[in-house]
Amino acid sequence: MMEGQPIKFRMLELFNEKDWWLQDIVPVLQKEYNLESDYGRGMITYDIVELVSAGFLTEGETIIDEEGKFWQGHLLHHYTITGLGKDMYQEIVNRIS
Amino acid sequence: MDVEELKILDHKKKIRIGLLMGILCALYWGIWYVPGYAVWNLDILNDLYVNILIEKPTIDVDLMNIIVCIFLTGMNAIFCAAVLFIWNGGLRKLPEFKRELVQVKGASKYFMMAGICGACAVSGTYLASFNLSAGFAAIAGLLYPIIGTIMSVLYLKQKVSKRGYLAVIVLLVGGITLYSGSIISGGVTGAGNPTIGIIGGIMAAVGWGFEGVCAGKALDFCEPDIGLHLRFCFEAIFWIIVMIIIACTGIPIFSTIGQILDPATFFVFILLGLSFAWCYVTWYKSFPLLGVARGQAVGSLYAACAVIFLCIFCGPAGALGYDDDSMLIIVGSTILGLIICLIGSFLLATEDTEGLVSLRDQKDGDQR
Repeated sequence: MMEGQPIKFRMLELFNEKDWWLQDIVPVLQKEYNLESDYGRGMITYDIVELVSAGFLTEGETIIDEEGKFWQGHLLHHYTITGLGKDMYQEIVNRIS
Repeated sequence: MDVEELKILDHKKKIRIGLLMGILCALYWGIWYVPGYAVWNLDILNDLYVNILIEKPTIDVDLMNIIVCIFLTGMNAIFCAAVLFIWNGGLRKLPEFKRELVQVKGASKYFMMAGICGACAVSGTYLASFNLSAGFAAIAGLLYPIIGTIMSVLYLKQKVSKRGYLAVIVLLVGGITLYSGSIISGGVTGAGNPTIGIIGGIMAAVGWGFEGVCAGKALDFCEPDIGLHLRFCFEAIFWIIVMIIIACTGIPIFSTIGQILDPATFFVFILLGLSFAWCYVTWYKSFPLLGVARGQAVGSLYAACAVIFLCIFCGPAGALGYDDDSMLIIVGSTILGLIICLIGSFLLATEDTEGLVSLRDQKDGDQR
């Protein structure tokens, strides 16, 4: 439903469907939004950080990317949507449908 | 280094970036007053007064001043929107601009509201500054974090700690102290109607406070750079419509617009656009990282920055407006105000960041 919509709408939809690791969700969004570069990866990661700040996601398990599969030396978080995030997603769905 | 240590470092970095954005916002906002001061000496505005008087000799002076303020605020918004096209083009965010623009119900209506609140605030500042004094305009504008803080707690349900509240109050006291010397020694006398000046001051405080709240609501699910760009585009459209309506009444508001191509005038307007657009870029970026209340509080350091930059570019006497009799009280209150502002910023910068992982209490949402 949210494909082709503003990127944070789509992020909330994906997180509403299931929990995601950072290294799994970022490539999905990079492909959908044609942001397949290091810059695009950083931009999407920053958007996810903003969703955490807003209280829509929580960080669960965390590992360090030592092998450099996604972003060497950086933290990789497992994200879960919160009640606030679910409410916000529903609000957006109601608003745009 | 283990995961927990890296997590703490990562989190502190996020807050540090938020604070840096707030401080950069204050710097850009402060330096905006320099071209904002210079623009009043340009022919583009002086000739506009003359042309309006020639066309409408019986026009009320207050109305003429309001029309010139509208022209200036409109040009400010148009140049900011133009600068941001370059900014977002460089960041490769224009496709996201299109996605959010067409999503009226879900996204752009909030930035439309923010743009109208911002239009009210910026024009209010020019009105207060012209009709009373720049000092009064700055103090009136400084009151905006009070509205921003109240609304961010009541409407956006964001957390503000006791230390955060204290810092907001200290920064306000500091800002008011900065300009109190000028007002005590000179009184609030300006070139126009004091009532319109006071209304302008209220417009500035209320407009910026509500703009922060409208923007804060939409920034939860939109890109800050795009949100800001949409806000300026809507403000520019709003003023263009207002100016066309004014032109339809026979007032020659567009008569001097060609002078914008004069290199000196163009340069001043580009500086207005760059400093104001960058101030907003950093302001909007601080909200998701610090929250509306803290972002606005750090941003209110602009009053101190404005004094410093005006002293650098216009000289201390020109910037602060003192003479031999009033030098002691004005310079004294300015230095005292700057010190109080620094204490307020220190309170915010040294706040325990553990509670700031999220700007809201997540348990509120989880219980629903």
